[in-house]
Amino acid sequence: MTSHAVPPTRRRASTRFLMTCAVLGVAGGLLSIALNWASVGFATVGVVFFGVTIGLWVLPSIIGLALLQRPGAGALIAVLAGLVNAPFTPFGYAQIPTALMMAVLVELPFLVTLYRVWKPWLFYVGYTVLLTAFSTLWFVATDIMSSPALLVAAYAASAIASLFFVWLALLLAKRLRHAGVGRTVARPVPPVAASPYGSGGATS
Amino acid sequence: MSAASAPASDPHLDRPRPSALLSTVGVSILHEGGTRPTPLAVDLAVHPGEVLLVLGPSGSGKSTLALALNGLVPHAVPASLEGEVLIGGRSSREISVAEASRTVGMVFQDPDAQIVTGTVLDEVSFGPENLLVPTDEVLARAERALREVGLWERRSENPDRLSGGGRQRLAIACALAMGSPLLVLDEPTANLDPVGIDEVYAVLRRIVRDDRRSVLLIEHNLDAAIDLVDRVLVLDRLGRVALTGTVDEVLRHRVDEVRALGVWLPIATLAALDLRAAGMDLDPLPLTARELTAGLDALPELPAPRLPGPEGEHRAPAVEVRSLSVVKRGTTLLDDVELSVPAGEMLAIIGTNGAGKTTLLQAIAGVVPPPRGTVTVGGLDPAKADVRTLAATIGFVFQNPEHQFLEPSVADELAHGLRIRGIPADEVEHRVDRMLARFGLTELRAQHPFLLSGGQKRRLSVGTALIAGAPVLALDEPTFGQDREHAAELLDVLARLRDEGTTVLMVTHDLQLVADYADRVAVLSGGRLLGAGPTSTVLAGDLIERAGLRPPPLTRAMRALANHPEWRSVSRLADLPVAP
Amino acid sequence: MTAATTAMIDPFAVRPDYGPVRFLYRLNPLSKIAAPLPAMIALIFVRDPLTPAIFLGLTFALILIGAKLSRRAALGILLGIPAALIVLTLSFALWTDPARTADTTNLFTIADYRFNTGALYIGASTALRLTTLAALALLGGLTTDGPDLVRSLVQQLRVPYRIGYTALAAYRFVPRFAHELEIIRAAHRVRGMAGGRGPIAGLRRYLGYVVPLLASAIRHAERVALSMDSRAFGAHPTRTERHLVPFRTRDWLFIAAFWIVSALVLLALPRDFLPLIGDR
Repeated sequence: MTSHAVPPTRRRASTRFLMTCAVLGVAGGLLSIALNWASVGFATVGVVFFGVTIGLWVLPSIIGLALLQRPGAGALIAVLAGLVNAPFTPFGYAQIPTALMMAVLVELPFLVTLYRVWKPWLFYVGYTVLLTAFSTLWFVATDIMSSPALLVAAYAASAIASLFFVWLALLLAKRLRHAGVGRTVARPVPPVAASPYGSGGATS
Repeated sequence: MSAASAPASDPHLDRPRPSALLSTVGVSILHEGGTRPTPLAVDLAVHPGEVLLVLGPSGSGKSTLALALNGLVPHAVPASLEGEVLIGGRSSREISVAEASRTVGMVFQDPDAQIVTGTVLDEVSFGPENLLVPTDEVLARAERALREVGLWERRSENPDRLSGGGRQRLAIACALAMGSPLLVLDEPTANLDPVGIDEVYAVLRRIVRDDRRSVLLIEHNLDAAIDLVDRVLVLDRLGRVALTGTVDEVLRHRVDEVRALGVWLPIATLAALDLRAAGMDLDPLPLTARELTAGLDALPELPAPRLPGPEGEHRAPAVEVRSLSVVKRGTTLLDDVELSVPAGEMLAIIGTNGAGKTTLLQAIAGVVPPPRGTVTVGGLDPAKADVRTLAATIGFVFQNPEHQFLEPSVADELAHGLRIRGIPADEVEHRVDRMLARFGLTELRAQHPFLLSGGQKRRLSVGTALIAGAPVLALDEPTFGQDREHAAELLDVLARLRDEGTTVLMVTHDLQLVADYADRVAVLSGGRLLGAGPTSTVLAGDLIERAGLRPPPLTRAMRALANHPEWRSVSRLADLPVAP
Repeated sequence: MTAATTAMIDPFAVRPDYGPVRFLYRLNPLSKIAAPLPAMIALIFVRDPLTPAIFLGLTFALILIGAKLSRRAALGILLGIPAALIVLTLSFALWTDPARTADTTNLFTIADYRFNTGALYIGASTALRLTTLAALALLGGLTTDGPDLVRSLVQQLRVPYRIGYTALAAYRFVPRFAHELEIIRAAHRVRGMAGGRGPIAGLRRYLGYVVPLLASAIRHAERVALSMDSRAFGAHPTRTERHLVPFRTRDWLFIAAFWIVSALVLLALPRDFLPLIGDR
């Protein structure tokens, strides 16, 4: 039974990292429950609601990426948010595919830079472009496409809102870091073989 | 396996045996970003069938040491480990935490943070399932473990429905189900009420009964733990091993050294040391309430205790509660409570879980507004007062101080309550400086409140509650999750405030602290006030038992005296006679 | 298991089964997502009101037969969906640019605003599309619980179980989160944060909850992680699974039937029977 156990040196996401993402996923899930019901309500007064608030849906993912600076954090949080809110909202588990799309979307800016850049500008530029583009999906579904003036306004609103939500996410991540949160998760634990005290016999 | 012989050369070990289940050689641990390692160069060994108690003052690194004993340090917690932890003879560096779990089962302080699944049965099965144990064997192990802790009948329930003690017994069952011969328990009762503490120790006693399993126990509540311990290891403030040996060798024969290290002793021992200083030699030195009773009964005569005199003059009440009932979602939480608290006194509100203690405190402080006309605090009805006026009359400290922190630095945190009142900046600064100095936080004024230690956080939350000048302070379980050293330190702060005229109300489970500090006690049961009165009167009567609580250890010891009837009502250390 | 313990069984752990008629409970959670998926994607792009109406009718029938609804849930669905439909239709109709529907019959005119039958038509199709999307999602949502979905993600889709357990842990964090939020709100109110009304003050207040809430939750999560690691979580690439969520022939049949019906509705419906308005 022990023969194929995972060796201690294998690098992988730590349980701490996973559980921290679970917390942000829950935060995202609760946020999405409110947004889901709001979007049902607001669908009657403003069809651009989803397009404008899309940055809010992925806010916890952006916080997670800014706080933990680890590949996959944003995607995991987005999927968990989808799973958590599904039982409580009108669109239910049908949101899972949307959640998967969001998961890919939030990782893209960092994926294309091979997870080497975590600077604020990448957050701002990457997400404003991606979120605005993504809102097209909703604009198609709600038929705004056929009115050019409305479409331009919707895209502008979506872009400005995205900038605002990225700013908010970075602010919250900074505050959390000041409060000492996530520090221990942010840096990967050094593999055992690289321990400064070596391995094997006693050294002291 | 050659490393397994290392403990034999360890000078601290009294009986070197090669068969140690677990040993450490020169273990020092430095947390990432820390400045000095604690523990420091610790050697220890746990042999089959043995119960080792690890003691040490706050900050000596006991919990950090526990994390190293199954490899969480360095594998899962970012801290650097020097020296060697040998688990079943293998270095913790070479095996994964999962591998170590076959030898070492862990139980942590917070019962809530050890639940992963939705039912009691799933929870116990979680570990064995991770080890790829076949289903029928998983169920067999789960049943054995659950029967051992008395939870088998509740296997299909959600763990959230268990009491704190029940959840901690579940955590023990989870460790047992791993099949590991050694259990490491890190402050397993710090978050529990007295009933929960008794439950957990009843289970632990059963577990170590037949010497098949070993236990390494980190615990500050020695009153509960002492009778199942074989050996004791004491760390000093720097995290080094100061003393090690049997209970007799360490706690009875070198008690003065242990006390000097800042380790909290059992209350029976503290009482005996006071008596010793007053010229009454109890030999052997008692460690439990029963031993204290026996020791005192063996003495032919005792001087008169310093029992408190009759109540002094009655001061005007600072808090008055009149026929207060609170109903929430159809459940009666408080039923017709009448209570009066004289100004400048410390009142302890006690009772079992669900007795309505926190509800009463929150109603008095207006955290949950009470029905109009039922509560008066400093002449104010919290049901009608606005938040700022109320905050200037009664300060409230929540169980977890972090919940009420609002600002990014200690100084701003204190200033917050003044700034929202529009007090001029220089006045704010002056009052903040005074408060910082008073609570020993001056050096930390720029620190983020979340980064303070537990004791500092608590002091800061008391400071913020008082800075607007509130003459009444209400605290919800201020000693929850803290060790005795921090608890006593906080109670000293509160006693000083009381002596300066502040009325202090607190909900607590720690009846020995109540006995030693509170002027007055209110006993709740099932939402009704069973009675309230001066502490010595309440402890002498049967209210505590009627509320389903157990009297504190000193009271128990004295009540059981066969001789010396005038001593039977002694309940506080301060009641004991002093040197003539 | 004695009668006493059966009575105490927690709903979180037990999969409900209401017999072969309430068949939705006997299906794998994944098939209840996979079956309506093609129809849902198609619905985003269709523009006529009849296609979503047919799907809505079918979904209604499936839910009423296959799910055991409480009286309240049944009322909510039977009255709520039509009510939403009417409100959405009217409001989408009012949003429609009158110029797009200029060649349809005028119903009424207020000042410059002309309300045409075409607007009603567009409003109805948009409303039907959204309502039907929601109804299709309810098919699985009403009859699946989160943990079972996670288990089938692990068992059928081979999602790594460590990720699956992260999701299960997330479900457990939800009530704790709600409880902590309640305490933090009370604690901040006591500190005198209640001052200030309006959306800006409200937003600031909520932002003040975020850091203590997340800080406390993340620290809790880290402790849970230590407890999981101590119990050999992640020791092997797989783990013993006692709760099996099988994917059976009936799941394939359900998906196949749903897809075939979807294809028939989408392809066989005579398109020119219902003219598209304003979309040329």
